[in-house]
Amino acid sequence: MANPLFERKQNIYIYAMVWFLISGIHFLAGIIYYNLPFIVAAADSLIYNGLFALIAIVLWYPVRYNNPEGKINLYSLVTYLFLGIIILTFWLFMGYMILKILITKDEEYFKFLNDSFFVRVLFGTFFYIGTVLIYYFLVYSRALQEKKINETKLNLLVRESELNALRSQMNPHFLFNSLNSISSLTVSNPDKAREMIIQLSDFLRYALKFGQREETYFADELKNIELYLAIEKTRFEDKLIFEKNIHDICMQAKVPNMILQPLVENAIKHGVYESTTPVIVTLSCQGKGEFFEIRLKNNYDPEHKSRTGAGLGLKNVENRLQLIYNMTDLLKINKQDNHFEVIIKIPQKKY
Amino acid sequence: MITTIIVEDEKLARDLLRDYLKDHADIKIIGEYEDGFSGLKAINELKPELLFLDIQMPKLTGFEMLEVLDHIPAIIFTTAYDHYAIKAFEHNAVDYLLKPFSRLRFLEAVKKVRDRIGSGDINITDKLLEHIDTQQEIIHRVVVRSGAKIHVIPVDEIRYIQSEDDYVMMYTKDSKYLKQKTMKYFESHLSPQDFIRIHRSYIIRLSEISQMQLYEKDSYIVILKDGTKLPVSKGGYPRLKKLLDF
Repeated sequence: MANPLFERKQNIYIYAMVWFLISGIHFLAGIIYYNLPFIVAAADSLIYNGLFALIAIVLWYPVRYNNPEGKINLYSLVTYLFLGIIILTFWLFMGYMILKILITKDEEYFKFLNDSFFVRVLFGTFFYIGTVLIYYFLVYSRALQEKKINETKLNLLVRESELNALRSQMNPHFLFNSLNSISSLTVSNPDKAREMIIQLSDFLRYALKFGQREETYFADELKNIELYLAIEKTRFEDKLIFEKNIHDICMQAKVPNMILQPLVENAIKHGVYESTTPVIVTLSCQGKGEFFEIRLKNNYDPEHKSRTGAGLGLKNVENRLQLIYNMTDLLKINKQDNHFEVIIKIPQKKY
Repeated sequence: MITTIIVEDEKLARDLLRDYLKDHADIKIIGEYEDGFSGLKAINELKPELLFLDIQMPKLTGFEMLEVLDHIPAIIFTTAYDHYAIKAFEHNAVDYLLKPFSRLRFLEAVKKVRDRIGSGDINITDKLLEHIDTQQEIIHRVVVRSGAKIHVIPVDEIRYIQSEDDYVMMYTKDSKYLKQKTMKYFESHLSPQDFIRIHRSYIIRLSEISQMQLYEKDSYIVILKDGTKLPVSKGGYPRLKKLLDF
């Protein structure tokens, strides 16, 4: 972040005007109170104030460095104290030297210069503290602003992924094809139709229940995904075979809600929808150190060649996991021969 | 008597169609198929007058099937998909039924078929295909027919495409396939990151390019990895230059 003075021309004008005003007061004080000659008073005022005006510009950088987020602590206070002593010494020394060179013969002035030492220290301290405070305030307000912008961005991201999650839960193809199956069953098997309506309702209720970041027990997720699979099984009959291998420890694990559904949906979409032979979907879960590892595997028709890359559904899952756990690499894809496997890792929380 | 074939991968959906068709004694189902491939074969053999066609199916989608069909019957699409293509063939396919559909809605569709067959105007599928072509969607596979055989070629295997009058010839690593489509179609349906049209008659895969040479004054040729030399047109050169960033 550069000195805010240089961000706009206007700022430089204002800055110069403030220092001219201070110099003016200084000049008048020199003439009226100390009876200095006109030229001497002008030189005294311009040199000292001009010097400080330059020093104050450079002062931005230590303030910026010392309080990058607008925070202040003992360490930075001590730093400011030492910096102040150095700057004041430098300022007084330079001012004195320059004036000595410019005004060589005026003994009375040098007497005044020596006498006014404490007044100068006082004003210098005042300028120094004032400048640091102004800069500090700028840094602080900027950090605040940036934080707000970041928060807005994050919120947007969250909302967007919420929308995506909702969309993947409510895959319209799944929904409408299921409704069509029900419509068909009302003729041939009304009891089965009723059962499927109830399954679909329970599934939809579950899908609508949670917020984006909410966690739930793996056991609930499993129950829900079995509903989903039961519905798909009614549609695809023997073409869909579901197997599971779940370690007991997983059942009480906390996982993001609706995390299994997109995985299973993906397996069914690319496995069952595209195959004329049975597809085995295998769900397994086990504890692995600080993670739970959930694997979903399906075979697919190797002749089905349209598949390209990881689908949007899996991408969403990956983004969501990253957003929730603030970790990357929680989703892996394993593609071998005619098997497709998605592996997700859920960090275990220590309570 | 109207002969019909149902191509639909879900049994329950076929059951429903069969049930609705019971009301129409003059429509006779002569076949039911679960995937695009077997449906395609049967349609070409049995030549039904009416086809109930699902879109999303294993092996071949309903659209891909239409591309390689000899005999084109009157078509009623049955699909849960109401996105892009629907609007296009709303005016061209005899009808489409969005799942789930009512008996009444089904009746309407069948009435349209009778009107069409009555007036002898069922050959609308060309118009339909044209409309589908204008949809800018990147394709991942191409279905071609050579003789009685149907080939599904993954786009990943296409090395380059050459125009041949009303057809294009697609060259893969081991073979070549003729497809009745325009260069324009492929230009707009192949991923622009992977393919480039370098000439009126050629679209090539970027990763196949081995080198480019000055051929004559102002004219260039590209040499593919297998040594094939193809001309670059005046219009193709700046495009190639931009994509390859040289």
